[in-house]
Amino acid sequence: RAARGCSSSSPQLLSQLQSQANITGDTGSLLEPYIHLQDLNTPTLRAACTEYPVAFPSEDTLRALSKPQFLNTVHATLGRVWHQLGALRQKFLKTRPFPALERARWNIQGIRNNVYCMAQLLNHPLEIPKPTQPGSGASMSTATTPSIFQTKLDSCRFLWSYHSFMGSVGRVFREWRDGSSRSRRHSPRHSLLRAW
Amino acid sequence: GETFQLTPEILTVSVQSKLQQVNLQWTVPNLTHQELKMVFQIEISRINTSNIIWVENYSTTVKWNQVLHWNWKSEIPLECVTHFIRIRAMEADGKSWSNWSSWKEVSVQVSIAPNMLLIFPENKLLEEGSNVTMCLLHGQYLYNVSCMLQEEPILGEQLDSRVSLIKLNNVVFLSDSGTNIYCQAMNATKKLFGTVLFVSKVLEEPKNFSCETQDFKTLKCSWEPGVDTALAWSQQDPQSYTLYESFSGRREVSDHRNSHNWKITEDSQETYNFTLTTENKLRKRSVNIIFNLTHRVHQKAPHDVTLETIDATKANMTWKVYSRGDNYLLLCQVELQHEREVIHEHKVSVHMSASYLFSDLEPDTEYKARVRCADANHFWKWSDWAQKEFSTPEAAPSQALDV
Repeated sequence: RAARGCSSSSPQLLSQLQSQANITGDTGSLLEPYIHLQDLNTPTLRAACTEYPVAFPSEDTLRALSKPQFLNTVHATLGRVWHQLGALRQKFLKTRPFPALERARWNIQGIRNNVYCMAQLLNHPLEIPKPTQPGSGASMSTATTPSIFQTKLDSCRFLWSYHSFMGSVGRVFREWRDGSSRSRRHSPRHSLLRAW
Repeated sequence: GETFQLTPEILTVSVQSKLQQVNLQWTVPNLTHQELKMVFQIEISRINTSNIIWVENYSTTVKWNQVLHWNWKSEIPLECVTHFIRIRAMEADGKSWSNWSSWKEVSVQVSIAPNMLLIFPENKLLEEGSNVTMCLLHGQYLYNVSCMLQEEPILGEQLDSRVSLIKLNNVVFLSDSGTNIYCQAMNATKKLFGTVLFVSKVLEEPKNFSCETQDFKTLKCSWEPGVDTALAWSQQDPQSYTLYESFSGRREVSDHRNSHNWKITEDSQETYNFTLTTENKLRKRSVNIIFNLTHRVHQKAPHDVTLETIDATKANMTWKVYSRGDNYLLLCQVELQHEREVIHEHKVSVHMSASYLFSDLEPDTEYKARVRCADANHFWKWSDWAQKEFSTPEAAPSQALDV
């Protein structure tokens, strides 16, 4: 039975998740507008932006997780990304609007909702992380107050890593679909559910 | 000549590195006078005491046991280079100086790893058109340091083996997210070292500042704000606008960039003296207006406009105005349009209500009549138009019907 406001069709949900991941995996949706807004559009600064990627769960790590663990990891990581983008948003609030950032945050909420629904459908409700739970690395370093130049670059690296992370998530979801369509050919009923 | 005996004694030398400012405090020991007019000469040297870069005389009246203050802004960030400061004195109209105080060192403790590079000032905020000197502090293992301003290479000037200066003149506003200045060096632990220069547009004086009332309850003040000088990364909020009225002493910060509603209180005076001040972190500008409230009435549009066609060539228009009483005269402008063209215009003085007869109209024709009013004694601004469309009837046949 579908949870409140959730689709009851996992293939449809999976298809939505995959297209959402593809959208958010595209650097044109947020990183590129950020690079231009912050005048980081020079070869040297672009290179610095992708130099030390911020630690997000790698694709191999994601692929090795069970489905519930994968959904939990995506949901928790995107929660942190959503907050980080909120902090970044504060920096431009009083100057000109940054629509790409607003859209990105809406998209993240959309994905998290669908991830929540998928977990419900698979009878593995999400584990809502305790507030102090150490993040899986998806956050910008704010130990001391770095220079704004450093913060600009750190934010750039964060966005670059976020897009890469979403690219990986999209590929894992595609493998879910490919895996489920293969097993549907052999045993059509509840193939996705029986995959574990 | 004989040396002046009162040698000043430096108490403290402190630094405000963000302001690039040196603060000096001293006293004049053994001052026997209750107060004495004196001239102090302050010298500042850079890197070593023989390299004097600044000399300034400072005159003041010194009281017994008084602590004196003076400050100086360095063109070069104080983190990058050591300065030295000393002071001597002379009586205001004396001939000879005292001995110099001893040199005091002025430095900011900065530790730098051998393969690091530090750039100062960090996150500097300055106004478009001004000059700035950046300085690079090189770790000892670094070499071949090259820097860029956005995509333009910028050349440094070696000050000593570990410090180089980058002088930027007449800086230009590029983006509200700041201008990126970044450097690379051989043998460095990081590929990129950088800072952001926040160039603010110059705050403009508000233009066309004026206030008016429509109801004698609220004064609507408006102005043209000019460019917004807000900068991202919390470096500078949008400039504020504050209204101060000197007769009432009231001061109000506006929530909008270009307007503010000022409440007219019961005991308000008739004349207003407003100062509108705009301010950001770098500059403050003000404009001032003085006016009599009754000279700033923006009349509401006339109402209850009626049009009565008397015959095929005449029509009578009536209208009402919002008036402040019988002895308060309004000037109204009446206009008649046919096919959007003004074919008749007239002005009439009005108290509470008025009428106007249009004659020589064309039969069976569509017209638009409109009226607006303003204060007759002290014209400030026309009200909005109030209008009515009407058509004249066909003309009655000129001869009796030939039955």
